[in-house]
Amino acid sequence: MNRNFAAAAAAVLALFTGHAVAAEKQWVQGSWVNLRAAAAANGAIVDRLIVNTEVSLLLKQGDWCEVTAKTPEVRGFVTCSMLGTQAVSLAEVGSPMLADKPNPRYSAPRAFWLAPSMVRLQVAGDHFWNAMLTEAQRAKEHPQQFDDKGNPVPDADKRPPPVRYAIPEFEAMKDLLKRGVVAAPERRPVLVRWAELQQAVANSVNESIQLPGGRWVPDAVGPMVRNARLNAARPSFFQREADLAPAASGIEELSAQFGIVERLKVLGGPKWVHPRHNDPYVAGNWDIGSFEITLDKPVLEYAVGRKGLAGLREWAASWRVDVTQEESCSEGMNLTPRAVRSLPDYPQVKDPLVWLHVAKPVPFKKVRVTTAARKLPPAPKEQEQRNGYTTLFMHDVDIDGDGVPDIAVWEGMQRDGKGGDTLGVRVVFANIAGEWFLVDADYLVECS
Amino acid sequence: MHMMIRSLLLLALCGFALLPQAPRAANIDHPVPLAEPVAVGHDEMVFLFQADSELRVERRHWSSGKVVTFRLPLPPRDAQWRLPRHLVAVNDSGVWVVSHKVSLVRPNGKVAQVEFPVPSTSRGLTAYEEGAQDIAIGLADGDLLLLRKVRGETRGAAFRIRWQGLDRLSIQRIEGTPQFSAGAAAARLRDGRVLMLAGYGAADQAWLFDPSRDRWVQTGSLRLGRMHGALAATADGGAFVAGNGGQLQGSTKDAQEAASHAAEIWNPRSGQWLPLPPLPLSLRVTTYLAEGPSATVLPDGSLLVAGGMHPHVLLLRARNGTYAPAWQVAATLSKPRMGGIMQALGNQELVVSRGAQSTNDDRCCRYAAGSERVAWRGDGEQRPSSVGLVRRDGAVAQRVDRVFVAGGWESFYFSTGAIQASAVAELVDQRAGTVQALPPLPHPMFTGKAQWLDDDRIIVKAIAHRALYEQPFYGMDGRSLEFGSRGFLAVLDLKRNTWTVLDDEKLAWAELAGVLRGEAVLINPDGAAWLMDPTSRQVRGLPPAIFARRGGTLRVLPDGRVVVAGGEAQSESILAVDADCQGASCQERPYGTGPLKPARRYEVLRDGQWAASTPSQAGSTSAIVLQDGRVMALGWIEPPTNAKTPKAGRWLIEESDVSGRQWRALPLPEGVSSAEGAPGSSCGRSAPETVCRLLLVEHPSVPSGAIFLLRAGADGALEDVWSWGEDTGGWKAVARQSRTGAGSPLAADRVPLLVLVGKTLYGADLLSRQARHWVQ
Repeated sequence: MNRNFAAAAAAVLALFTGHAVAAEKQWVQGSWVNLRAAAAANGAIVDRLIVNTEVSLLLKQGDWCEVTAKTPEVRGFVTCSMLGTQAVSLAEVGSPMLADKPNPRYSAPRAFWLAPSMVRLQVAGDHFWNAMLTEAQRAKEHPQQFDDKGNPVPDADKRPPPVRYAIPEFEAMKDLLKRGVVAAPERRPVLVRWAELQQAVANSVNESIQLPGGRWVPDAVGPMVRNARLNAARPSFFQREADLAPAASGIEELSAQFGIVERLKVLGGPKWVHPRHNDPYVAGNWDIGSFEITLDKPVLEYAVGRKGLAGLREWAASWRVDVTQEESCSEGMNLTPRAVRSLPDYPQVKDPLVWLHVAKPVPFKKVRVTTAARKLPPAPKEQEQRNGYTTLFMHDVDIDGDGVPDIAVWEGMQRDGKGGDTLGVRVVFANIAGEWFLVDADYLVECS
Repeated sequence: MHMMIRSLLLLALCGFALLPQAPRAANIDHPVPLAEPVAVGHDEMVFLFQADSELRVERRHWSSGKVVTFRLPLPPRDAQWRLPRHLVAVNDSGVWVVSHKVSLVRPNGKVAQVEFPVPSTSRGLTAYEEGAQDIAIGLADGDLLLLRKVRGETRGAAFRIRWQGLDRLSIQRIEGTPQFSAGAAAARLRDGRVLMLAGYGAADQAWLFDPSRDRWVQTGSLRLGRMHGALAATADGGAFVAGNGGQLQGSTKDAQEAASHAAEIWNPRSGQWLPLPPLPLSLRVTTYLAEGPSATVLPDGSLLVAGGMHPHVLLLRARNGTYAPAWQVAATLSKPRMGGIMQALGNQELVVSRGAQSTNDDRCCRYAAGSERVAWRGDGEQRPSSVGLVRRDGAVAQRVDRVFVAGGWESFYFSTGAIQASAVAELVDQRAGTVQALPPLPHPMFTGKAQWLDDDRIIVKAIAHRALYEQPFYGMDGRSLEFGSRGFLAVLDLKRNTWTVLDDEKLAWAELAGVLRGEAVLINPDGAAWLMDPTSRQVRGLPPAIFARRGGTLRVLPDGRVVVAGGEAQSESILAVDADCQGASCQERPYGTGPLKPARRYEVLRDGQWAASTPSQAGSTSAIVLQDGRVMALGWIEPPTNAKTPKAGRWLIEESDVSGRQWRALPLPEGVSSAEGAPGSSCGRSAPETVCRLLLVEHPSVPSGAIFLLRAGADGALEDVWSWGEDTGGWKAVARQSRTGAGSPLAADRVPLLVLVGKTLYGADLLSRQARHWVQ
């Protein structure tokens, strides 16, 4: 009712003060733009339009533009500077750096609305923390161990509570995730082509290997790529990248890859934490502390045993973050199968050779695994003597029995310093439409 | 077979009957010297003792036994009731005694004294480290040269102290003294000059002090920078230095420790240092109360070093103006005297005084009382006892009545743990009852194996070990190793008395399994295997063993099979095709993976293929490969960790059949519980690094013939020995250990040789007679 009244009033007003324009398609450029009943800064706010809301420009009145939008179906005034003739792209505003330079157009809130996901919400929360709190308050929430006068930081019970209040835009963001979204395509797992991986390994110097799409794999993959080979691939079982997701995929990657709705549940507000090796600080993303993300339906995990048994299991995927929990190092391989419930009629596969997420049930319960091995000579450097690799096992998995490998698994056995070896790195490739893609790279973690 | 054993045992018995008498060794009683004694010529040694309320200077003449005594007042003690450190020096002016004051005891017994002036700064004379880092040299002109290191500074100061007549001494600082610091060494040369090695901070620098002009000039640099080296002047006006550690900064551990096995000699004409033959035993001292070994020169110009962690005296015989090609172990003290002072009494006799020793309860350390006088025959080429047999993991190989022994290691726990390797090689002649010194190994060897190639050639393979933190070595980390050892391969030609080194980098970690048709069979811990022809030096690859394995037994059987058994091995495997194999004929084979655990399978290489046995019940801690290929294994079965009611582990002796498909349990000796040694002391977890309460060993001289089971007490000392009767299928108790004369038990893991003679079982160094302490 109010909206209609405001629009009518504005139209009448335009007759006297503004000039009408032919209805022109425009897009909202700001992240969260006030739509007002009148062409004035004190005009009543009738709604908020998020970035890239498509509007029809009806009238220009000074700095104010009267627009109508279909989604939501509203009419009102926005400042004309908030409109543009082209939609905003995530590439323009989604990254703080562009070509190694600060990106002046970067906007965490706009990036959230363009590509909603929990990760974008967290970044937006941090943006609001920076934007909405005074410098003094921010300093209170991230104190140094010792202040300028050398006094130690206050004890836990004397630390001031964080200052938080409701920010409408952030509330709307949270609300969106609470109602559920499919994580934006940008959250899909990055599958890297074999040639790209080879190039990245060739370019790497000791440190982790940077891959296209911002993905990194540990340097342990380097010796594997140099010493192993992939058998020729032809189109076979996997046809599209969307057919599978790496075992290491996070909830949002699974949501984005398989189009499953994810939902946010906020479990608590920001909290003081004091990590062992850092100053205390208020942890959280604006007013979100601990939270949980769940998927609307379970994901499927296909696991292949060393002798060819293949099982299908499902996982009611969730991601729970306790903001007060300090990350602890756990030794061993990073990845463990997460699914627990086997689907009926599929065999149980203990200690699988490889497992990955699949978009739909794989019907094959017995697959062919062939293994080739290469003994690796001790590396000349002392450091590599200790951490070097003894044997490289290259397993080909033919899922559908057509003689074409669908998955390749490389296992690098790493010297354990006591004469034996242990699985040090596992690299998983998938043959997607006749081309090998790096899917997972898992490696041994040693805590120190 | 039994006849052969009996023959060998008989030979050993004959050997004992023919043993030569040990050379003279005598202990000379006197109290613990307060300072390092000073040798004067080849007959007199000057001591400083603490009497009840005075200091006593004694000039002892060894030949006559005459002792001339002088007395000095006792200096004040410090807050901890300790006397200050003292130094002694001797020259024509008398005996100089240095602590915070300098005393000169004139030949007529009169005493002159002077105190160091009290300095005006805190870094002055009182900051000298109580004499701990001082060096006092009696100059030929009658004065005393005192080199003092200042606490906290790298630059020391030098002083000339002169007798001014009556009871007066003067102190004059010598300007222009070069930098010297901790670890410096000095010796008076034959021409009266003093050669000083600068020590820390300039460890390869050497300086000459000319007393006639009070000037220092630099001479040639040492080839290896070293600290606390044993330095002695030679008869030709030069000097030599040997042993102890390299400079602590900058270089690798290997480079730092290279000095421990190295000696070099300074030529007074050229001013240059030249290398001497390497020391076959380490001359490195790392313990409280001792800073370095000592050196001296025999009247005939031969060089002598001693005072290491071990009790051996090394001799480099002078011959026709040059030196022998190798050092020999000339004598062995009854107990080590670390940092002890040596004096040559003749060309075949010496006395060693003071030095640090462990206490009676094996703690570190105290200064030794008394002096030990030892003599030897010849140049040490023939000796009555073996140096190598008492070491761990030395290479031992027997051919009829000749036993080749080389290398091995000893560990020392004094202030810090240290492990030292030996390059000594010997030939034990059981018939003659002698030990013949052989040319030392090309490099010191911690662990290794030897095999006779024929009557005149022996091949030795040393296994490389890294002196690193993360490289475990018998339960200790690599820091304890004095250096990273080379994994060399060498052949000794007894006719030519020379070693030929057959180094090949890829063989560094390999162990010698045996000799197959004249070629050495070498197997790496990771399973890689090779054949090496010692004549052509050609190396051919053998198929790799399936499992990585550490320790255990490797054997080449007479029919050409190669067997690896026991120790710790991988237990998992993955079937795979060799990735480099092309074509349809490529077969799958198992590749071992996983950590090392007490081995349950053994492997046999036959017709170019390795085959693994079925697993035994227990993980074998010690295993024996019988001549027909059967394997006898002693293992510990770990208790299940998930059992609801706790269960104990147990010992099990098993024997495989020839095919390796089946194992059968053998009985334990009567009176031995299957839970012997449990809990917590079994070898179940890491056999090579644990003292096993039970150990299965075979007579290394009689391979595949005499099998013994040893039982050790909680302290690792051997208590019981049983022998296996192949015909009776049971064990027979053959010996029980009594204590040695010195009261120290023989550790169960040091049984390189066992000889049963009548009712007496001899172990360890059978020729030293120290091992005759197991009596049935």
